[in-house]
Amino acid sequence: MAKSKIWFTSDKIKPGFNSVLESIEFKAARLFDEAGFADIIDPGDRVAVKIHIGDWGNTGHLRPELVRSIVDKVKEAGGIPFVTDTVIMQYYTFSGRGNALQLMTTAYRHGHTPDAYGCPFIIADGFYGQDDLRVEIPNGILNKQAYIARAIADADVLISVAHYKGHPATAVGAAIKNMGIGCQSKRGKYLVHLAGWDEPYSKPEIHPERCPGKNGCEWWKMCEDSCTEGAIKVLDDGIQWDKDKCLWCWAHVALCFFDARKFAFTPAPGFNQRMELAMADAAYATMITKDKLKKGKVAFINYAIDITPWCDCFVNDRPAIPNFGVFASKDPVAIDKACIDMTTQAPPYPGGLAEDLGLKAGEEKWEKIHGFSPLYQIYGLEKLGGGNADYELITVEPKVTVDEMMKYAPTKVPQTLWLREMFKANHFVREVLPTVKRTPSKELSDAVVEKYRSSLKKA
Amino acid sequence: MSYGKSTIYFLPFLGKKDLSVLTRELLKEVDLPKLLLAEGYVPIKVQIDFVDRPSFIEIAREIARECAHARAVPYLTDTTSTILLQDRKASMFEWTELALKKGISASYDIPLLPLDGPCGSDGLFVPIIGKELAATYVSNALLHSSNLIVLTCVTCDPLTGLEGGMKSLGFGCVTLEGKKKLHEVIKPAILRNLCTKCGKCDVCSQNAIMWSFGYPAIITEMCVGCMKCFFECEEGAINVMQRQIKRYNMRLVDTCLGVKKMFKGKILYVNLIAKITPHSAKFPNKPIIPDLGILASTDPVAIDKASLDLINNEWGIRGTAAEICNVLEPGKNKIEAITGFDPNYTFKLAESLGLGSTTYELIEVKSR
Repeated sequence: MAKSKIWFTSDKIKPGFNSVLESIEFKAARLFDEAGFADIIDPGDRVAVKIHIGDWGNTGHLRPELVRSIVDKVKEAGGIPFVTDTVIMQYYTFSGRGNALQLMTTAYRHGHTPDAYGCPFIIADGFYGQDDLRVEIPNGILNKQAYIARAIADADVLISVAHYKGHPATAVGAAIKNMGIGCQSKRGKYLVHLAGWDEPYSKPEIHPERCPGKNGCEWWKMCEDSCTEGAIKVLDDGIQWDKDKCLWCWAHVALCFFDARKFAFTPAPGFNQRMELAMADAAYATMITKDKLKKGKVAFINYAIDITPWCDCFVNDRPAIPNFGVFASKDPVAIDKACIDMTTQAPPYPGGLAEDLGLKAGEEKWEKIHGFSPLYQIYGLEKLGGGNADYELITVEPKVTVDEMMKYAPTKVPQTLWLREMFKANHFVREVLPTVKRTPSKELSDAVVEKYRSSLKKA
Repeated sequence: MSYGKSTIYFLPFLGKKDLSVLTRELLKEVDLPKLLLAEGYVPIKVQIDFVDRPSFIEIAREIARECAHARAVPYLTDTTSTILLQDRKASMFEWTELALKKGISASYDIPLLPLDGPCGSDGLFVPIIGKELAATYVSNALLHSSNLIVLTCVTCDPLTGLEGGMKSLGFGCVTLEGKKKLHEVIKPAILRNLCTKCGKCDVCSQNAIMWSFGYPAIITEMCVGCMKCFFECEEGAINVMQRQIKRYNMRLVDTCLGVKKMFKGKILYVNLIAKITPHSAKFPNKPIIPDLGILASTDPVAIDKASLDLINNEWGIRGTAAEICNVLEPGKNKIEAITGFDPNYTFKLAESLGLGSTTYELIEVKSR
């Protein structure tokens, strides 16, 4: 099998070379050209640009302009783009993305508006996330079916614009997660999170001795209410939990972890690996809707910047590793593998979680941070035929030419020409100059400057 | 079944005042905060479709602001399937473009959302005890909404006579499946004695129009009754039988009952009587009567009846459909003469099924 090609541009610029073309958003747009994404878009195609809007309070999500440059490229190629996201499975009591109304409010707060994108911003799976398409995947590893959000399933082309970062449930969140969770409807997301719900050992584990009960925890009412099945009952000094009723929706675990901070529930060993495999199934199902995979109408862009150990579904942490740049590929497996490999090679970010844990360049970072390997999703999707983990990295340097500049400059007319026209009518610099009073430059000798400096020191 | 009189607030357009100021005065009379449940979702149903009507976004914004003051959560909304019914290829993309064109967009803290998902299929199966229908598919978003505010620009309509609050509720709040259930009884036919073979009607999204012996003909089995061809015909050669229109209206009332079932709180209907165009290619596209004002009520039947009576009791404008149909004088049923269907039939039916009351008390709001 031939190696998959990945195009990569570093986010670093040469010292002093602060051209507009060195901006990371235009670097991504250039990768769009280099990777040949324009070829997969036929004129009139509806192109779903899948993003992650970032949950309430998150500030590390992809800024709208990083996606806007891709949207402009899609328009240039003749496609009809729309930016889209789906509502979440309610795993957290204070999430801002439970239904379309909350999601829209959060999205607008974060700047994801039609005005910012120049194209509609659409919730892909209806008001409560029930508008979906059931896709059968007989060769699925864990799940034999998936529920894909309707607008994404109906789109002709899928372009995933993902933010590469760590994730507590699947070790990394990038292109595969953007499809395997991001493109699923609400019940599709449950299906992935319930990977192995019929296996008793994959349910969360309870540590009743850690729960102080009603008397010691002010969150107890929310804890009881977080369970849709009524499996949790908080006693005066303890907790009762009906394990058979539990549907493993994360809600009580998230509340106990993040807010109550009692750690009475923990994931069972082996759960995360199973979830990664289920996510690979769902990602594969997303790609086969409308024959996108067969026709090659999928494209992936990973922004590896602000690489926090946690997902954009929570607030940001300090990055664990430094920024890499932008990746683009038509292969979701290869692009995520490349990001993970680069993470292994990278040094830890000063003061970040990776440095706190004493990790060094060349060590597997996500495995040490989250306790399990991120490679299950990679090899899962590869086995299904969604991609190839062998890749070759093609590094693209920004090309600073006039032609390139004309593509990305804010106006096609150089700004100085406008100024020239303005000066012809009203040369305000020459008009002002006769009335300006200044210290003659010969008086401002080195000795005078030294005098000011010494007086400042005294003060 | 007999009901008491329903109260309707009527704000006539008098003096030179901003529409939003007028709306505030109307809402003061209606006492909106009393109707709303705190912290509940309040969809404000506006109309986003190809029809040219005044977009009364000022009224929608003002109502949304009042809702937010009353600690409810308002958002502007409409179903995407209105567009989908006539154009199979259309999607939420066209919907958003159309909304932007009409000036209906999300602003500040009032988002704009589709009621029935991006592709018009986000629905909930709702059983009804009605005259024609046993069930319909109501938009899923209404499931946990406490209140609904239905804004309607009243126009003439070939299917309901008068397009008012009931059409907005029954037709506008259901998914594509629900809309198809309503429209499946409509089977227009082409009258050959009026047809000029111009071919303008050949716009069918279902390809149901076939040419036979030089004339276009509609294949009944393929037709979904979207009426797209009807609006294209300038000769009035495309005809829908009265019996079918009556069945359509029966189903509309049934659907209204289904949608109404979803809400704990009350539904407020706001009808704007301005720019009443005949809504048919037969007549010039000019308003048949002068602009009158805004109506508000919690009774869909009474508000539509009141709108009808106000329109009929007004002098018609010369040179419009009102003169062509010879119904200029007040008191003549202009709507029936122009559209060929008397909406009073629907109102009586709706009253008998308990949707509302046809007797009403009109309270004129004095603009201060």
